[in-house]
Formats: sequence, C-alpha cells, structure tokens
Amino acid sequence: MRSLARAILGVGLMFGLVACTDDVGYVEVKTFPGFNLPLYLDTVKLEAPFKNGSAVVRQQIGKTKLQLEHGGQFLPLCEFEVRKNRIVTVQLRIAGFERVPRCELRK
Amino acid sequence: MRRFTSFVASALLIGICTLPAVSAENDAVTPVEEFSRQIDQLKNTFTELEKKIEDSAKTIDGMTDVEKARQEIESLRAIVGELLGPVSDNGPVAQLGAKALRHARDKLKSLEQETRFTREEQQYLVGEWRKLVEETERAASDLGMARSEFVGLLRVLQTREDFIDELMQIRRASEAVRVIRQLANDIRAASDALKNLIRAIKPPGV
Repeated sequence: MRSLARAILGVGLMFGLVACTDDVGYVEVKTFPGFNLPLYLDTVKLEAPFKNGSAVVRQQIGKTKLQLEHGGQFLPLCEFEVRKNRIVTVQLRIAGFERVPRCELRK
Repeated sequence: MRRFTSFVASALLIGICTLPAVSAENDAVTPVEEFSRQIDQLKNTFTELEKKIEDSAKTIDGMTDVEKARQEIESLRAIVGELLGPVSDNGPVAQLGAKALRHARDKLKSLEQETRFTREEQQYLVGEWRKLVEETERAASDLGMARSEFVGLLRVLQTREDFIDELMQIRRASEAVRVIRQLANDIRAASDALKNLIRAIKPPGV
C-alpha cells in the first residue's frame, strides 16, 4: 500500500512539474483607440494594462480562443494556435459599420 | 504518515509552482521593496542570458549545417522566452510592479492627508514617497521597454526560422546559410540594444 502511495506521489510530482513549467508561448493583443470591452483568452480575463493599446501575455500552448464579453456573454472573436516559445500577434480592427471587431493574426 | 506524505507532496507542488510569488505575499516587506528586489534578481538573470545570446550569435555565424542552425535558433527562442516570461503583462515581475505602484500611490495619498505629524515631518515623508512613486513608474516603464525588445527579438527568430524552413523545402541550402549569417548579425544588434537597456534598469529606492 505504501509503495502504491509512493508511486502515486512520484507520478503526481512529475505531472505537477510538467503542469507548472515550460510549455508556454506568448500572445500579443493589440486593440484600437476607443476599444474598452473586457477581453478573455479562453475563459481567463486579460487583466493586462493595455499600455498604448497593446498587451503581451504568457499562455499555455495549444488552441486558444480570444473572446470579448458583452452583456454577460462571451463573443468569440478568433481562435489560433499558441506554440512553444513563439509569439502570436492578434490585432483587433473594426471597419465601417461593423459592430464586432475582427482579428488579424500574425504568427 | 500517509497524510503527512500527501501534505509534503502538496506543499512541494505549491512551492514549486509559486516560487516567484511566495515572497510577494510577505506582509513585512512592502510591495515596492519586493519589486526592487525582484528587479535586482531579474537584472542578474538578464545579464546571464544576454551572454548566452551573444555566444549563440557567434555559433550561428560559423554554421553551414542548416539543421544544426535551426536547433540553435530553437534554443535561442527558449532563452528569449525565459526573458519575456517574467516581464510579460501576466508575468510575476510585471504584476508585482503594478502592485508596487498601487501601494506607493495609495501611501502617498494617505500621507498627504495625514495630520499626526508636524508639517516638516509630513513634507519629508510625502517627498520620499513621491520619489518612490516616480522611481517605481520609471522601473515599470523600463521593464515595458525590455518586454518590447524581447517580443521583437522573438519575432525575428521565429520568422527567420520559418523562412529557413521554407528555403529547405525547396532545397535552397546555400540561400538558407546566407539567411543564417544575416540572422547572426540581427541577433548581435538586438543583443547590443538589450545590453544598454538592461544596464539602464534601476530598481526603485536604490
């Protein structure tokens, strides 16, 4: 029983180390003047200060969705892949009479 | 005993995952002091990694084996990622900077309304906290500039790597080697800019 507990502990530690370490990439989000809606990467709010309309955040690798929140609802803007030690730039733009911003991705 | 083992395991995991944040929770140290200490540590890390970037540029410059060069670029991306992590907007140092700034501004505001001290004492304290606010703002802004430099360098590395990949797909090895040489120059230029930037970063209150 004790050896089973030890094995579980070992595997747990190993997974723990993997989970909290390195597989991250970066997302740069650029907004446009006047944009002030809350943005989310998946379901995590971007609390970044958006100095000069842009923010750079660390993000776990894999498929990521940029969403905005309006009236208590999530509105997906775009989905992209975050790769290890690479940066994806997402530029938000709004054109003409559009109500929802569009994403331009630079990988 | 089993309970103790699982407690130790949990404590270890939490400890490992929250290493940079632990000291920030200590009430005895103000966020400004903690921010200052973290910047000091960060400058050392930056300087060490900066040296690795320079060495890497040297290695890349002499390379004719495209596959090896690609591996070197990949490890360089890991180094730049390591630099960018703490200063990214959701990274520990950037967040601590925002906390330190909030703390210093709140402190200044409360001291300006303070009535316990003599006028001279109050003015002295207000003056000192005003200095700290300015220095903290400057340090946060310097880290912001460092963040932009690291983002720029990471972008150069990944686009050059992608371009080299494309060239190899159409069997243009000699062109790829030329791109690798050019990249070595770009890295050196970025490395010089980083060196100046890192030297200029000054922790608040020092």
